[in-house]
Amino acid sequence: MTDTTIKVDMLARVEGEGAFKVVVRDGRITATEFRIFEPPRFFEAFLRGRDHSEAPDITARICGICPVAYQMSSVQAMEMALGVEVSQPIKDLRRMLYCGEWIESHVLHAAMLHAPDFLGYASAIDMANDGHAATVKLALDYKKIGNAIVTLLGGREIHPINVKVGGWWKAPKKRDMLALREELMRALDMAEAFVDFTASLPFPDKERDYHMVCIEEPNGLYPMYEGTRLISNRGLDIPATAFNDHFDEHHVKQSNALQGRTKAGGAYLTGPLPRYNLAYEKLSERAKAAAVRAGLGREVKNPYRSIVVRAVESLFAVEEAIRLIEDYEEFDPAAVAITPRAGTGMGASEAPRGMLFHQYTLEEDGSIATAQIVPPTAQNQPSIEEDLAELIADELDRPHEEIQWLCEQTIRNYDPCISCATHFLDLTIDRA
Amino acid sequence: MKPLVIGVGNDFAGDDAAGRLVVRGLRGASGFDRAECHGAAADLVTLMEGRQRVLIVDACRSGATPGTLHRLDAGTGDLPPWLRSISSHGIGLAEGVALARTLGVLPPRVEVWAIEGEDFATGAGVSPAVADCIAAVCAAIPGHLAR
Repeated sequence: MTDTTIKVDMLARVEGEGAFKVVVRDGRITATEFRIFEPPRFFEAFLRGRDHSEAPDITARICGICPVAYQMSSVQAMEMALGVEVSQPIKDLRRMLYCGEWIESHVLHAAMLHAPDFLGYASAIDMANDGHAATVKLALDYKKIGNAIVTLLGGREIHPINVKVGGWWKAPKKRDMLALREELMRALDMAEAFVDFTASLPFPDKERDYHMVCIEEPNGLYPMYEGTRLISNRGLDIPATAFNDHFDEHHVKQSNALQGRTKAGGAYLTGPLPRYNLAYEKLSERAKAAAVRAGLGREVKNPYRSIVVRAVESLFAVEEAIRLIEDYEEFDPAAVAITPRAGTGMGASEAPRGMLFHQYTLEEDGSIATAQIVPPTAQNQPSIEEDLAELIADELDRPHEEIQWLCEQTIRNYDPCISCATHFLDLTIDRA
Repeated sequence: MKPLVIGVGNDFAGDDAAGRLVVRGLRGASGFDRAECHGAAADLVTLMEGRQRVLIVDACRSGATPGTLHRLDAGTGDLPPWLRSISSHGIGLAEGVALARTLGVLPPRVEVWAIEGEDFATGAGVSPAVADCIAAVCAAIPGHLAR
């Protein structure tokens, strides 16, 4: 049998660097490998010996797209290790900061990176040049609302600096929050229009029966900031602190990243679809109405419709930020005092692209003895490989370019944030 | 609005930090604003919108001697392909400029100063030739923007 390896162009619109390979024999997919190069391992080593207080700022630099997620999981893990309980106003502000990141990240991904796949364009620039400039402009303006939230609470637009273990460096002024509320109110129309735009896209008619996992919040809130439990559509219901008892990170030969699987070896899915399916009732009424209008059922198993779920979650995040502003009162001190001690702590939150778990062990002086960072893309990697195998299995007769397109579109359903690394993703289709 | 200097890069990827380090080296200088970013096209468009003059500083890998400074005028056309590869993430600096042009929000004057890097490994420091270039660029920018 003669094997042919076809090298194809990079997959440009995924954050980061990686490669995927599809092996085809006798018309059937026999293997898929999604390979990523993942610096969280570097950061785990880099953190050892550093003070616990440095973790939020250092881990925030792992990803240019979701620094808040890294900060939120790390501060919660550190506070648990240090035996610190922070107040509800501190938690509420963190949730609001997270709303900003969800808007920024979801809108960026959906409009600039994923929508071109559905509309047949190579990039958002081509899309804008061919009659969709208004949509691209809408997305950029909408994303600015997320930037405004992150700037006010985080102290600056990118890599917020106001978050600390124990709370905040400084709580925002009420008047500044109310001014932001006005901007958010004006953004609701953009948010609705953006849902409608995503709903208008043509979706491949594909579904899969995923094992969907997300965090559960303690106060009945839609999963975002405070993962006290981990739940799934297959009956998982455990304390988030027990993550390592139920999930494993496997080394795989094709990647320097670790792949997340259940202890039983199964792939699982984390991200917008699990959150939507497992916590639909916790969305706002307006977000639910938008979901209905967008044609989403109560249950969504079509991974391509994740782009619509992202738009619905973005609308929800705008409303949630408005709610949190309306409940906000200035508070001082902005943080709980910390006394260093030895301990172990875990933190789980929902990055825009999925669950992010951190675990740290501290020495008596508060320095970091060990760090474990489990990013969502590593957890989704086995699921991505299964998608590539199952979803394109009956498309193999299509021209090579179309298969490549579908593969890329499928990978981007996950908004895979491998920016932890660098730049390229190469596709190899290995055919007999 | 004042001119804006945007430093693009990644602090933890060796010479890719060059743009950010230039912006930090300009702390205290007056006559222009400063911003840092990871290099995502959407962020660049947002930062540039409404400005009359923007200077973007980034690292690059074109094959030139490390520490070489490339001065490019983004107003004259598409940026060279090697500015796509280092700008963090697939849709980066060159695409950000192209997108701003398409949307009609590209400032009248946009220059890109790209510092040729040598080592972009995760966790690596800035190489000596690049450090020298960063210092020279920091010294040159205030006078350049005053003209």
